[in-house]
Amino acid sequence: MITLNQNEYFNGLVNFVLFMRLYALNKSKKEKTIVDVFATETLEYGDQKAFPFAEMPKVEDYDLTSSLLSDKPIKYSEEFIGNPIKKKIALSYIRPFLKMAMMDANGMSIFVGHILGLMETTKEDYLYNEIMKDLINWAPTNASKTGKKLNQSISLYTETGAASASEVMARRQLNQENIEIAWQKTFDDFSIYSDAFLDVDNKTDGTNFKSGLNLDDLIFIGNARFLNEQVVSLMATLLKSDVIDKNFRKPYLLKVPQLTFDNNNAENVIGFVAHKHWYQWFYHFNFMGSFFDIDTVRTKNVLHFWYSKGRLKGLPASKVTANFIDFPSN
Amino acid sequence: MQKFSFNKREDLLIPATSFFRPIKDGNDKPLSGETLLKAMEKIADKYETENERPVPIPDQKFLAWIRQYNKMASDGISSEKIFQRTISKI
Repeated sequence: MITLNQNEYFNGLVNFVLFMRLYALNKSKKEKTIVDVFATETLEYGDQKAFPFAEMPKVEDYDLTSSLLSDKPIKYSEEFIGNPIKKKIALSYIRPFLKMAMMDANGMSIFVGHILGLMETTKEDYLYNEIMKDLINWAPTNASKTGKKLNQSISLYTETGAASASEVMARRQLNQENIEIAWQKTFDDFSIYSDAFLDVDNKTDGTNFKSGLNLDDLIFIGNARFLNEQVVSLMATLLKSDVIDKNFRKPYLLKVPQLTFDNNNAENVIGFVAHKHWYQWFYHFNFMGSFFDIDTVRTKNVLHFWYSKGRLKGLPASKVTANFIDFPSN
Repeated sequence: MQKFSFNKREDLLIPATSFFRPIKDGNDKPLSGETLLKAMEKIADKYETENERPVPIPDQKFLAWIRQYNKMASDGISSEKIFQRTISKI
């Protein structure tokens, strides 16, 4: 008969659950956390994922002179995500001391399970903060080039000088409508082939990289401060069409707590519209192990996780920021 | 510290922590501990059949224990008894 001690049981359980998450073998429907949304497949071997993309070929006029043998090369580019960040989380406990603080084996099991679970929670918290920092601090290289819409600004009115509550409400209403219009316009612009949302410089490089998106490739990442019910229901109304029915996949809306934006000095960032794989991260390796020191009777658990993260310039994205202005006086 | 002892011991299958967010079945109902352990055996078998190698976790003894657990459960032994017999408290 195979017997395990409690540590072997918990470690095995944790590592198996990590394995299930890593290899996405769990087919059940569960709520995606913000961290899950940007996660792509684990890269078990190799240290980089390569993403090739090509420019669009040119349209020409018909010509009676044959150009069959002339070469029409198109330019390719390749991006890489993969600079493994290696982290670990360690904690140790001395079982006999813990037992003295517990009333029975049940309490002990619950507590040990809780602290092992805390390690996974710590990892999620770390990944969440790293991902949000990356997103919010995005500074595209070609944002200032003509025709680019990588950074967009919406003018919103402050409440300064409002003489009454109804005037305050009216300004808020106006602001909300402006945000809705901007989201709608950006969403529409994403659906046509364009380089306005790509961080590439076609003019200087002599290339023709463009992208257009399907609805189900889009993701909206919104600051909760600017996402009230009207804007969220906009996502539903965007798809009011005879062609699209309730089974049609909608763009994914990710609402991020206002506190995250405030903590990153980005109070006025309304959000991002992007291809769902524009930003991604993936594990290389994820493992929990334990060690029992017979000298001190201490058990040490270590959770290792190695991951890479990055953005793709070949995929479209746009950051939308609020520019607060005073309401024009009469 | 004053200690209490209880006559009946209940062993915890899966800890109720934030890490173990309930895994749900196709009808969106959380799986019970026993069902989860059964599902784990199926997942391990499926992975090993498809990939022709063992599940890549260091705790191979745990995988053997899961198979033993499910065998004992199918022989009619309660999960509480299985835990009492196969998990030592040290």
